[in-house]
Amino acid sequence: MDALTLELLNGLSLFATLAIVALGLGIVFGLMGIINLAHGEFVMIGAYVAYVTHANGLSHWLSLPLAAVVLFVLGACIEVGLIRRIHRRPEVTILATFGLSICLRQAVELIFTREFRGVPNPVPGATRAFGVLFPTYRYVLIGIAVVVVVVTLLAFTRSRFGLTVRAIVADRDLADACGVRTGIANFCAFGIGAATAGVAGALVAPLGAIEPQAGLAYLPGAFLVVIVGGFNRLWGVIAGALVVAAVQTGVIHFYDAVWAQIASLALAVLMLQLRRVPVEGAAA
Amino acid sequence: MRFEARGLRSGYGSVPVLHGVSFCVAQGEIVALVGRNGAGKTTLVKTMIGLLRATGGQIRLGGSDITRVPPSRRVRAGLRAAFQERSLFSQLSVGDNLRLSGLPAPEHGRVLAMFGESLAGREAQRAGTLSGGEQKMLAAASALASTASILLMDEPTEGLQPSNVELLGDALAVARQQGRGVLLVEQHLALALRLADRFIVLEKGEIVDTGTAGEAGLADRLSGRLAL
Amino acid sequence: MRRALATGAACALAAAVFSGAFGGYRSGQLSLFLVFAALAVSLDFVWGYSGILSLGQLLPFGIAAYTSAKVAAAAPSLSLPMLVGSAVAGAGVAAALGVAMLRRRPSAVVVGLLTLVLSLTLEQLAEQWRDVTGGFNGLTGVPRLGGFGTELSDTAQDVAISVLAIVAITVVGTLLTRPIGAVLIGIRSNERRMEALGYKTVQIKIWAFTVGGALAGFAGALYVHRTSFVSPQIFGFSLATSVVLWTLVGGRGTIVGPVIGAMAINFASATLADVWLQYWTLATGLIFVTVVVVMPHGLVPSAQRLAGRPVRRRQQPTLRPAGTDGDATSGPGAGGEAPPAAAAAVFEAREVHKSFGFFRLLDGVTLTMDDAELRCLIGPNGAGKSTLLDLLSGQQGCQSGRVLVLGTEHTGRQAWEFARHGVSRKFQSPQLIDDLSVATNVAIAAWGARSSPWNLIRRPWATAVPRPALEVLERTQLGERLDMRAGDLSHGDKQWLEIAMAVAGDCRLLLLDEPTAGMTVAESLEAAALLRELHRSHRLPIVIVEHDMAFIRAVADRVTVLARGEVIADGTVAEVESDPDVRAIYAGVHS
Repeated sequence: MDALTLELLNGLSLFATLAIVALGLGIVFGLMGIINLAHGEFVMIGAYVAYVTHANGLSHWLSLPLAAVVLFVLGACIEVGLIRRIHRRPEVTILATFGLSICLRQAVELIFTREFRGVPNPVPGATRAFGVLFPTYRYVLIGIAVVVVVVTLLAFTRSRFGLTVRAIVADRDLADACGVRTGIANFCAFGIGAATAGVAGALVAPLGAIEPQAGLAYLPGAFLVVIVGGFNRLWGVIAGALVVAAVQTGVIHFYDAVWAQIASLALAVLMLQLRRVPVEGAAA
Repeated sequence: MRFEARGLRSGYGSVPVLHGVSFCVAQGEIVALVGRNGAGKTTLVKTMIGLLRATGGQIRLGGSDITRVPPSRRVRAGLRAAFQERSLFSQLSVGDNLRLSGLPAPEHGRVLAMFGESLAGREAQRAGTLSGGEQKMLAAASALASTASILLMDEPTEGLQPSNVELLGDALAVARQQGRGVLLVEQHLALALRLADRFIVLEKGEIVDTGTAGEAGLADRLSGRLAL
Repeated sequence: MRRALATGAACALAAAVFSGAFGGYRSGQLSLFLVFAALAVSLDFVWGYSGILSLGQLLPFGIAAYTSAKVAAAAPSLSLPMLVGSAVAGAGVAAALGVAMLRRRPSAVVVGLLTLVLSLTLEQLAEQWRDVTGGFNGLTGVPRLGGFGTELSDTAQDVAISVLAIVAITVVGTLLTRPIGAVLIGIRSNERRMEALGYKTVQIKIWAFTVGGALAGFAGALYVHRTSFVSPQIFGFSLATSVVLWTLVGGRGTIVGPVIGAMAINFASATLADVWLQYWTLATGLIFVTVVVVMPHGLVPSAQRLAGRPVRRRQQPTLRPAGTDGDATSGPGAGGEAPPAAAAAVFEAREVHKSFGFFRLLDGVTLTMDDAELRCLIGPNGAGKSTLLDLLSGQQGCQSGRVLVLGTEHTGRQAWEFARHGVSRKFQSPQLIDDLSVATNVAIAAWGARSSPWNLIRRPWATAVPRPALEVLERTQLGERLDMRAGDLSHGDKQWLEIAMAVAGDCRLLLLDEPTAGMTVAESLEAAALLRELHRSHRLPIVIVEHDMAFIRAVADRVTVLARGEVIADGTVAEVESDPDVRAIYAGVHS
């Protein structure tokens, strides 16, 4: 019974991580039709923001808003400098963000070297609840991630900005003709997508080593979530993260992490077979 | 504010559709642009609002050149189009559609009442579930209710029942009285003959005939142009 | 083809001489970079030629490398046959992946993502599966190539690997000088069009993916012998990006490009990395982004363009009239003169329904053509005209009702089946293969009806073309511009070329969607005369969707009027014109 509870908590923690990591990817894709292969690097940079915050003797909690701001600015610059020029050409954006990911990784390596960095756990220890001991920080992580994801999604679906965003997703031409400033909406979407990645990075920073290659580890999981959750639905991120987390936790319990990855990959292939993916038509 | 196209050329990809079209719409007048299917009418509307790039010529609004200006800035400068197809966000609610057109919620009731009972009180409904005619009315109503000074209406009467065509005609006449300019694009003559001050006939991307309301034999001449 | 073989032989000789002359470090570098070049060419074959954006070309490469390492460790004497085995293994991996992935016609984005994620997953698998893969450190101490009890010396192996890599690249490059090369380019640039010409595009793409996998697998085996070890990083992000970078920078859609790209970037890396390793990697990232945005075609094509040379000097097919000699590969009906069996109707659409959501495009339409006639289909917007043509050519299926074409039930069949049965379709806007010449476009249309990849490799470039197609080319002066790039033609000429292509296959029913769109009045009357001529002299049944009444009067035997998904009138032009319902629908007034 306790083992099951522990697995459930592990699954929940994985779900929260996947959801917040995939959130920005889903937003950028759903809104702009762009696959951002540099998304993992955004997460990695978020973790470095947490490291720098810590190195300057500041509270870890401060790093969350800080990472959001830093990544928003970075994302916005990338949108203006790069994405805007190649937007509406899906294949080109994939390649460009592929190249971008090399640049970001290498730039970080030049600044911080390859050395593994770490951030101490701000709330060490474990909490006993539901009859099991579970790291307290993971409870915190689950809480913050769920709040960030839900608030972001609500903002996208309920606000005036969210309305224009949904209008652009539904029919970009018509939105243009209604006077919606699609350019500014793209700018914000890419910035917000990057910002959520930054928060995700800062949030997971105390849990593992921080190094320039760390972003790569997040990429497969995040893409699986987006593929499984459906490409054009923002709320799909939550559903996708839930399914992928359930599958992975389940398989890890019986086999190991690699088979879990393979199982979720098989799931993604299956989803692609089951439904038509209107990828090119999404934003074009 | 006066809307003007000078030697406008445009098309899809490498396919030229408009071969140099010139006309103008002044404030307080309704200009009917008529032409058979495939004449290039919708291409013209899309080029004027900026969804298609003009490959030649000029578009001017109120004395300034807007040929290279993006659609959103054209809309803010006072231009507004109601499309023939895909005129609404079908996944969004009726109210959201009106909000996107820049209409604050308190005005929604008045706008929906523009065409009698059929749309009234249906703000929460998804626009895609309205009937074809109702969708056309909603698109026309939100364009008419906007503050735009030049309206481009692409076949607004298609699929509308006669009583609603009457209502639409009245609404367009009111817009003219308010001093707005309307380009009424039609394949059919019924509404155009009743309302328009001037007529332009488009054929294979060129203007082949023009006329003024009240001209002798105008109706016959135009229906000759449009008939088979 | 000869040029490709000669180039390959010259390169192999040069590589051997170079290795012999410098030996040691330099020859080792050369062989490694040539292996990378082969990997880049495999990506180019799959992506640059066939349009499948595979970011997982490392899958066959790495799997073959691991397999070879295992086999070489267990049985060193088998290393030579294992090179062939690794190509087969690579082909098998790619074929399985192609079948699983490509049949649903995913977009480039989905393919790129899936292959990349798969490759990264395999990296993790290789790290964890220690018993087989040696875990993080991989398999080391792989013996050199050898056989019959001997093992090659270092330099001898370098020479052998360089030569083998060049041979493999040459084989694939030679394949692309065959007609299949043109067909792959066609599928890359316009898959729907190729299918309407009778090509089983999905099958050909899976085939191309498999060939690319075979080359990658072969390269993987060479790689593992050259470096004598293999580790999970062989599936990693870094190498995956590098392969794309080499191909992209060199220039996809050429064979020389990726080879130059791989050699140049690797030599630069090896030289510069000693001095400033980190800045060099950053620079490669910047080069990557810059090339994508500024020079998407890559170095080689851009340089060719700057030098004023045609972008691609490809082999050009010679066109000759069909039936002048026994051309075994042109179909029995390729003359276009075999009239349909007298008893059967040309086509028959019975009670066909088609709707999208609540919107009914076609509502129980029945339309038949009994004899070869020239029929025009008219009607207002949204009447369902193009949809009806789609049903008659298999572009779309209908929800209920039946479609019979040239005496055979075709309900629910694919577009290529319609095309192979003699239905030719011209789309509303010109859908040519812009990068290929006029002659190649016509030839592709002529090959379509009977073309497996194997056929397309063996068949000669010289092509027998049915007379109607040659007549169209002649009358429109396109015959004098056969080697011009199709994308550079004027709009009117593109329309003519479309019509020539439509009758170049085994055409027994011609469907034209707005052939005069974008034509001037004079041109459209010329088109009318030409189509009448085609119809009369070859008894070719033609259906035309049109709006232009002057054209219709000049061309049509009979007119069918569609409105709101139903047939509302049918008869001669005069009959239809005087029909009060039709007049009401068109002018909107009762007169």
